[in-house]
Amino acid sequence: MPGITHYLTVSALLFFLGLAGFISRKNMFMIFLSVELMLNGINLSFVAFSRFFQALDGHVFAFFVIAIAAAEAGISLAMIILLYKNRQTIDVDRFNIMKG
Amino acid sequence: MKPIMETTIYFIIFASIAVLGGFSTITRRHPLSAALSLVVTLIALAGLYALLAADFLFVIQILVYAGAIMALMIFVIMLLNLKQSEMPPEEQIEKRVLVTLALLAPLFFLVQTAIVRQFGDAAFQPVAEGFGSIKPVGMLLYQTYFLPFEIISILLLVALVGVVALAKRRA
Amino acid sequence: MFTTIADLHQTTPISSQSSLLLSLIVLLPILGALILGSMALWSQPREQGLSEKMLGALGTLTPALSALLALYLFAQQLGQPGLQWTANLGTWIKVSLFELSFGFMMDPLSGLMTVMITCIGTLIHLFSISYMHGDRGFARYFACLNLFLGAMLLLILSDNIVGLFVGWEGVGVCSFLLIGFWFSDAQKAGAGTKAFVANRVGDFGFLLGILFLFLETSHFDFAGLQAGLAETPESRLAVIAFLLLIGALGKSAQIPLHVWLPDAMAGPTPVSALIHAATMVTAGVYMIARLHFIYSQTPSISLLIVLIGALTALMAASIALVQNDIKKVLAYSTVSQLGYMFMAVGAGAYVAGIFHVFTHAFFKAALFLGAGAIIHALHHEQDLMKMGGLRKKLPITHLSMLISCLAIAGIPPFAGFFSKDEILWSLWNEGLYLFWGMGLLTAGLTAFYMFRLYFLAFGSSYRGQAEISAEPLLMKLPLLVLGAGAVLSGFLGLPAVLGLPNWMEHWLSQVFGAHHVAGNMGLALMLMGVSVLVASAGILVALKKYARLQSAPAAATGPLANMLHQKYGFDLLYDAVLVRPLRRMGTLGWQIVERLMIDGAITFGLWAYKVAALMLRQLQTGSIRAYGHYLLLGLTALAYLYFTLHLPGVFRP
Repeated sequence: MPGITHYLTVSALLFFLGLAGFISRKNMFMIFLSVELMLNGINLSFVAFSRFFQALDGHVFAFFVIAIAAAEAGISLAMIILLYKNRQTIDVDRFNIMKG
Repeated sequence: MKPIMETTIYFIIFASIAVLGGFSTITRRHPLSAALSLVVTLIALAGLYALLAADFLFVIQILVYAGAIMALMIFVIMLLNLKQSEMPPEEQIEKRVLVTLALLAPLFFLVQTAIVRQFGDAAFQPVAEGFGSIKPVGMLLYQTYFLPFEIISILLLVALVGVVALAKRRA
Repeated sequence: MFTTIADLHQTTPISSQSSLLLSLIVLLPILGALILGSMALWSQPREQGLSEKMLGALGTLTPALSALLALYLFAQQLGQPGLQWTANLGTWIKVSLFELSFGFMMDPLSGLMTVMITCIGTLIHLFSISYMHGDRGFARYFACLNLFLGAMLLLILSDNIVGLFVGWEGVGVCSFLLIGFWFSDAQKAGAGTKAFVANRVGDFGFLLGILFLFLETSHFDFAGLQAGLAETPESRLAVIAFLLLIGALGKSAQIPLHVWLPDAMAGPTPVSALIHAATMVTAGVYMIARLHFIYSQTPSISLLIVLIGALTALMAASIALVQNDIKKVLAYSTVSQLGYMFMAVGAGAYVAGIFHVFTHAFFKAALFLGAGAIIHALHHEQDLMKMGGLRKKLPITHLSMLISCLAIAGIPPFAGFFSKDEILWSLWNEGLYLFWGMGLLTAGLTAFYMFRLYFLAFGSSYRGQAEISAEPLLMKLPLLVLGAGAVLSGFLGLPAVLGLPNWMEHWLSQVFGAHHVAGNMGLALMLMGVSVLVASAGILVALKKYARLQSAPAAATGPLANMLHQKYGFDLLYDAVLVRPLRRMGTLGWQIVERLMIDGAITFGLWAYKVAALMLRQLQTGSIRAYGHYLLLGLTALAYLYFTLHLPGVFRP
């Protein structure tokens, strides 16, 4: 019978996979997908905690995370399209005009 | 087979699929493959939600996340239709990702230790009938969390307006 | 030698009567100042100012109304001896047991002063309309002048010493504003500052005096003070009297705080007439007379007042001998006459002092307005050496100034003769023969320098180049009225010792108590004869020396003349002892505290920020992945902190 420890371990694994993708990939789409992966890792721990403490608040948080992920998806995809139109590339290392 | 065994097997299956899907997501060269891997992970996560008696989230995860959001994602990737030459030059992706994971491992073990120390082998207690179904979640959402819920709806509206504004901009 | 409280007991029973008209006397000019002030603010940025006719009429209206009200109330007082008007506008300060109200009180003394101030003030407002014609600050001028009048009336009419102090400070502020009226001229603005600072020195003592008074009696109103001080020992009274005297010295320009008044002539001439001759500078004398119940109990301080007054009178008169600026002569003459008044109040002859305040206001205002008319006619020429022969061109001015010169010189039957002789007679009568001698000498000097001024301006023939314009009607009118005052006001105080009716004595005895001067009629006549002789001698010397002057005489030389030109070195002394050390301290503070410490700290901070920014901006690569790494670093640090703080066992093996 899997306990909360196991669920949280899976959650942490997914989160760290997302983190590794976020810092090691150059493709903008990949970075975006890594972030989605991290969000889902956290969502799993919310649901697990909710089940463990027998309180539904974690479900509500997970629900909010999904809503925010949707908003984020919309905005970042629009930005990727715009950036690609302007620069014909989706390599994040090519975008460094914010260099101080 | 006893139901306990069943749960364990389902957990092992879903967890493995989720983690492998996650790994696959971050190591694909083409974003389309990565997105499809992520869909697999999301569906496996939905299975884990079901094991955790989160009926409502199970449905939402499949319909909204794996369905709508990922469909949008894949749609955009196909819309740009990037050729191999237009991709950022990335060599030996698997190796790079593995090295990064190795570097992150200490942090992961830190977290892992904390989790074990905190919860040990604490087991889930049985829950009441209807836990995590749409009614109690909805009650909570529209009573205790009414204001955050409304704010989230405004956030979505703002995102919508932002997307339109971005799309209308001509270079 | 000095009268006691018992002697000062009221001869006529006081009957108080409340009337809000009394507060209107004070409030009307202040209201006018508010209206004119907002008009001045409105017209300041605009090319075309408001109509001068309208502003002038409005500015003169409020003093005129005040004057009518004052005359009305004073007339009722005349008809009903012992009548005292009061008005209470409510509570001002209330702290536990102590309560202070906006109270006004008009007794025979303040009634007389109020009538004098409002009437002369109105005339000077009228004169100003012509004098200030075409000035950019026309509205501002009338606002300040109105405000001054309000403050002065508050000073006179307040029934408590705190209200008097507010008026005292108010006239100081207005004096500052009006001396520096043409503030774009640094020298004139500096004169305003000098007056203000010298007055502040005096006010410091005055304020301390007020606080000591409160400590002693727990009262601020004059009635309460008088009752509360009956038991106070003389030593403590003397401290209070001395502190209050410091304030009076500053306001009335007595040694050693007299230095501001001659410089105050930088302001417009009608201002000099109103503030620096007729009204404000007499506030010190008024204050001492108002608090006579203190000063009559402190003979040592009173003697000090006589001494200061005598020295000031003589010193200022001697400086006036060599001044060539027409306004400077009048300024030193004012200081000298104020010295007379101080001698009088110091000798306990409060009636004589106030009488001289009263007559002096008329002839000195006339002299200043006359000087203003001359300056106006000669297009801002103030040098006596460039005048001469103005008798024909400015007949009314000439007439008024001749009368006033005779009055100030002390020739009977003009006003100055009676008041000055009253003072000299009091000094003699109190046995202060030395000071009587100094007063007599001053009288001779006064007669000489005033007629030097008169002959240089009006005698002989014109020595200047500037074209002479005629005197406008609005100037003639006040000159005539004030000239008439210079003739007639003396008859209010005919010498009682000769058996003549002294109305002033009789009237003010309601305040100061009966103060019968029993004296030898023959001796009094002889003393009068001597003073008239001395004055005539002064006039004759001036006549001989200046009446037929064709060209400007060479300036007098020699050590004495040098000393007079240096004004006895007061300005040099103050400059060396006070101004320059202070300025050096200021420079030091500027260099060390301001430049080195404050600016240095800021500059160092700026430099540190620059260095830090130079290093930190290396981190801003612009690459998102680099930022991801930073995030990770921060996350690791936070995780470490969290785990060590909240899960202490985590890192144990």
